[in-house]
Amino acid sequence: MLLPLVMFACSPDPSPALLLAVDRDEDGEYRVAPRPIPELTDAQHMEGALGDGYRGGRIAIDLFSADLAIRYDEGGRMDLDYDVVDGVAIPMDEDGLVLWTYYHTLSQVRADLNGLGVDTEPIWPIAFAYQPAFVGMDFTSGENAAYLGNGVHLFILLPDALPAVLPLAANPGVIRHEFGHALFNVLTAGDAYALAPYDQLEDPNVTNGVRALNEGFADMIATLTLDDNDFFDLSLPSVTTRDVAADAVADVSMYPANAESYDPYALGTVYASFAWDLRALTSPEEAVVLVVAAVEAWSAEEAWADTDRWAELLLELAVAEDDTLTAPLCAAFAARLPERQTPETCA
Amino acid sequence: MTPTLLLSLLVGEAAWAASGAEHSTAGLQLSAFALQTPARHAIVPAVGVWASYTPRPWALTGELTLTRRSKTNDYYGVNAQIARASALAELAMGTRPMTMHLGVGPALTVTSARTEWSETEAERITRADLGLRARVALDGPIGERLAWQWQVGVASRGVYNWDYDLGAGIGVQW
Repeated sequence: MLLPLVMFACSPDPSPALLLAVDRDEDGEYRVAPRPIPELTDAQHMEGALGDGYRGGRIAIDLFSADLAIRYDEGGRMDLDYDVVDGVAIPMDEDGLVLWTYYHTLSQVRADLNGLGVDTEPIWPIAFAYQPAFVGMDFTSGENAAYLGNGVHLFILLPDALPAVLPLAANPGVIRHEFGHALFNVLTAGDAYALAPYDQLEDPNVTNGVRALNEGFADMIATLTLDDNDFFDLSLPSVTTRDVAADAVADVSMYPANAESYDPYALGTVYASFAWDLRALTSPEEAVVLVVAAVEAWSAEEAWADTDRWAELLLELAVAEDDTLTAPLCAAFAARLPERQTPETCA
Repeated sequence: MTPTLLLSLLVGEAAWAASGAEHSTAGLQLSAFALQTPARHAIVPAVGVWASYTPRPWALTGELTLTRRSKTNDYYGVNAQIARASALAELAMGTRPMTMHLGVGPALTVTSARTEWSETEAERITRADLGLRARVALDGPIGERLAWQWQVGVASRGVYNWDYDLGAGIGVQW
């Protein structure tokens, strides 16, 4: 369909019924398609019930504060170029597609989880910064999306480094992953703007261990709500280590021992793979409800130094729901965490 | 620029203008555009033509510049062509062989973007924006017939979108 349309400096409908966004269709394929985003009340300026967006701005560390507080100095108001054709908002550049995909993904994950009884409302609204500058922070990725907790409660989107693939910032799995960090913060810190208790501990190895579970939990939210075990493949086809249906197994080298350098993703992928094992035995919906409940239980125990305990709690909660899961889930537990003592539930 | 320097330039220009000095240039220019997209500034290359008529201390300059911004991957393609025409009334200062232009005037920017989002779905949207254009330029001769130009400029599309450019060109003079 080719319908040339000429506008002369006029503003399009701010609340179109449908907007183009990248999404996973029912056939499991990702594609750009018209989607409703009911919370986005101003599509031109990216403002709505889920939070407002800003272009640029800067994220800085307040070096003169006692706790080196991080803050976001808001950038300008966004101003997307698009037109509405046959009821569908069509962007005139990539930014519109990236930003509408971001908002649609949040809208969808909110509806999915609230529908399952997982309360996401403490997270909203959450502002987001599109390509902010970083001052005094080690954040040099050319293309990424991120959640900034630490009392800031902000999503960050950085588009454009790799030309041939879907930008991470427009990858529905990556956005859900970052949303998972925000949810983890609410579940463990109790409030979206609260500092998490494990971030204030003196032992950096404990903090790093929680980072691993945090990364794993974020992958669980992404993989289970999308029902896609390897959403990174859309944007980073060369990265194969994040596939949660693969054979990730914990070993001693994955646990934090050296505070100077630690990769939280390896152990996080083990945890997310165990959740995927549960999904294979139940359903994505049941699995995501249980992994959230397990984080709540783990947080209630304040078992910050024992992140494997989260896996035990997941197992216990799943078996309490359906005892026919005992044998296969215990087998999965033993396979993923072979050095962990057999849980009581399995003994 | 200090007031004294500005005054001396203007006095010098008045004297030069009284002598009837004038020249014209036209040529081809390559630029780097900092193009304000809806959410940031994107750096894109641009090509353009210019023509200046310079009866000092004044000048009239017309510009036509073309640039494009595109992104295509397995899921979508967005290709935008942008054309800008501007006409500037300028103050021309300095002596030949180097003249400085300070210009301001209206600009019309036409953006035509084709968005593709499946093998069969595509839409072309074209919009025109009026705005302001301002530039600082230097030009001078290369031999008897050729000329060079260097400039930095800014142009608006509507009220809120501001593009910046830096370019250099070569052309003819008479």
